[in-house]
Amino acid sequence: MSLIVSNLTKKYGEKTVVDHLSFAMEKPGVYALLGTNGAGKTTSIRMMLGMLAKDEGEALWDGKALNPATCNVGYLAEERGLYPKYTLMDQLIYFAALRGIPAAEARKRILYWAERLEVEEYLYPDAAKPAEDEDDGENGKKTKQRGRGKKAKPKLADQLSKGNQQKIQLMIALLPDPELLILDEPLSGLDPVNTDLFKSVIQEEIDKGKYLIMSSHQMATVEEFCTDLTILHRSHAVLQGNLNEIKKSYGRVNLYLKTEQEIDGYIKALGIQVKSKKEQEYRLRVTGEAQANELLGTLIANHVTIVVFELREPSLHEIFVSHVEE
Amino acid sequence: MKEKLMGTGQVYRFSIRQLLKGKANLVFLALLVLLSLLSVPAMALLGGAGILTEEGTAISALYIYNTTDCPLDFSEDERYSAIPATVYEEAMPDDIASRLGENEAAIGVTKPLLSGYQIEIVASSIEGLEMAEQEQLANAARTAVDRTRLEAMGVNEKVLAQLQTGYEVNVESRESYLHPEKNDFEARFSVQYLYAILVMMMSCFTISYIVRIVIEERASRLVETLLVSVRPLALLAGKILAVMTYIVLLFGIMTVGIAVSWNVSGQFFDLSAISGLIGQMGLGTALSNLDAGAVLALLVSIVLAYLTFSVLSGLFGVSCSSMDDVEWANTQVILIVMAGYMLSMFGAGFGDIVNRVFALIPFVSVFAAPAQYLTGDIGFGLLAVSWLLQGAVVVLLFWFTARVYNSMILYRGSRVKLSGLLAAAKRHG
Repeated sequence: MSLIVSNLTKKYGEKTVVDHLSFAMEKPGVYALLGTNGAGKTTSIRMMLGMLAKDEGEALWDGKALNPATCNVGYLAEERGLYPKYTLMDQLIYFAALRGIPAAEARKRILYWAERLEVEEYLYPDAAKPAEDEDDGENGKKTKQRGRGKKAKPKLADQLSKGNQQKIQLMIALLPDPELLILDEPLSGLDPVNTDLFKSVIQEEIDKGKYLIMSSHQMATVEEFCTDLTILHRSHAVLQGNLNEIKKSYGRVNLYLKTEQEIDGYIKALGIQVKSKKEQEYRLRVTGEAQANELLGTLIANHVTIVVFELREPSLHEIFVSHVEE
Repeated sequence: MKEKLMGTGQVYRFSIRQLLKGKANLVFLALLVLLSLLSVPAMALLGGAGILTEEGTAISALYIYNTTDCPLDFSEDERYSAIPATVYEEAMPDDIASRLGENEAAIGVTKPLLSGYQIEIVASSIEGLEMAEQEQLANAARTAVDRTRLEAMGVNEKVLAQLQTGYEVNVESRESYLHPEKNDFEARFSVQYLYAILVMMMSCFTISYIVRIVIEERASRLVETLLVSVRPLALLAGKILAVMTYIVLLFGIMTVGIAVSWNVSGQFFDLSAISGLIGQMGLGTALSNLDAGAVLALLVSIVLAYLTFSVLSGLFGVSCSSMDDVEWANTQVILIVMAGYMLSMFGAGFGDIVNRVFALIPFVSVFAAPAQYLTGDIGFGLLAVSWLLQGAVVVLLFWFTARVYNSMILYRGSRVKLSGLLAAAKRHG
């Protein structure tokens, strides 16, 4: 299976919002679509999924036009919502039915994901512990779980916190057990605990051999998972390729150094650029491995105690910023 | 097209289930059932009808003043035969009325003119002797006087039954006699009134539901989540059909409720006043004169009218993206419905040409064409042409709405004007 996106273009009047975007996923893994706000990431995804008409180009899944009939897609949209006044279970079964999943099978999958994403208490209120206070919503309203013996009312979407709503939305994307999973800003607005939970689910999907497209501003997270990427800037792809190869092409120019003595004089003498400094902790930009080794030799020769000496490729964050900065 | 409509069934089932589960809808449904059940007794009571009591009359004693040669004999009356009756010779109203005790009534039978009898009832105005009781007493007195008068003339029961058969008197002009299908204003008004009210009620009920349900995904920001599974056309079609079914269900429940109410109320209330009112409006005659073809024509017309205004509501719904605009959208569609109704009503009095034109104009024809066909103002040919035009309007309106919906489903902002809708339909996605 493969995903081939070629020459996707979208114009609104005279303004081009996505300009001939092309990329391909030949094997399972994570492909990152990165870009500044308004660069065209979400528009590209919408065009790929056929939600938005393309002015040019196509998205092919296994050689056929990508659509719900040709590809089992799961999509966690950036613009997330749920029906506020319908029960969560009704909504999940509805979304499953739309993907052709029978109600009984849907219930099994919902139970699995409810446990996995730790939202059983909202989906199965009767099984929840009694008399617990729960912060139940963005408006800060508090409700109390009903005690044993009374049938608890099913939860409505607007009774859930934003983070828990996001879990339900991820469930909706995962219920059809998609072969292609598109996650648009999956971790935005999550607390650290839930971020780790989401990351572990993403890792599971990768391990299952799924195709994932991830769009995010959290570079560290993207870097953790993605193998290939496209950086969009003002509707154009400004950088594309395999992440490791891109990094290699930059060389190891980032030096993280921690010492027990002041070494400003040695750094200055070798003409090395200081990116940041906090006490004896330095982030330096060297021209290459030779300059880094020269500094290391100087420090040893002058009996400087070295705590950390780490020569690294640039981070995705740095690569991103270098490409989108004016 | 098949791919575009995939998922319509699921959207339909989900939408109708949620409509039936919604708290506000359940309360509304309960109120509707209650109102339907109470409608007939409420009308009966407001119309002055009293409660029929099977146990017998509340009257404990009768005082009769009879100056005629016809004795007032209640012996064959089930209700009043057992009531002790005292016959007085002296003058009626003042004397006897002043003597009436609790639950007592007086009946005066006189013949002040050579040609007629006069029956006068005076009852004590206390609980138990309501208007209905007095009317029943008057009816019983009239029947008793009639019987004794006729018996005195040697009229037996068979002849009496024949004599009591009712008449239907028709007074008409030469033109209306020669062309009975024309100028039957009462029948026309009755059918038009009933049909138009039904279409208007169904449409008005439907409008706000459709507008609201069409906006809800966009207002709840879950359009994108849905669009990965279902196309906008299927979403729109499923939702509109669900609301239409729900409203038909409401009307069905209301009709059954009123029918139950009528049958049950008939056991306890005197409904003759309501029956009379319906008869005076000509509804009874007009409806009983409808043949199978006319009923079929009405049904087709109702379906087309209902579809027209439902899809129109959908169009106004898709032009909005927030719940703040629901009121505006409702008002616009209601104004169009009302304009169609008013034009069809006023147009009926302007002669054949106007009638024919109105039978073909979209939104007016849904009211005008079927009523004019039933009253004979237009023939089946013109009705069929009107249906075709109405069908075409429904298809075009749905096609336009679907294109606008498809084009603007991801749009959120202020509501879109007609020029914006046309541009969106042209852009289509």
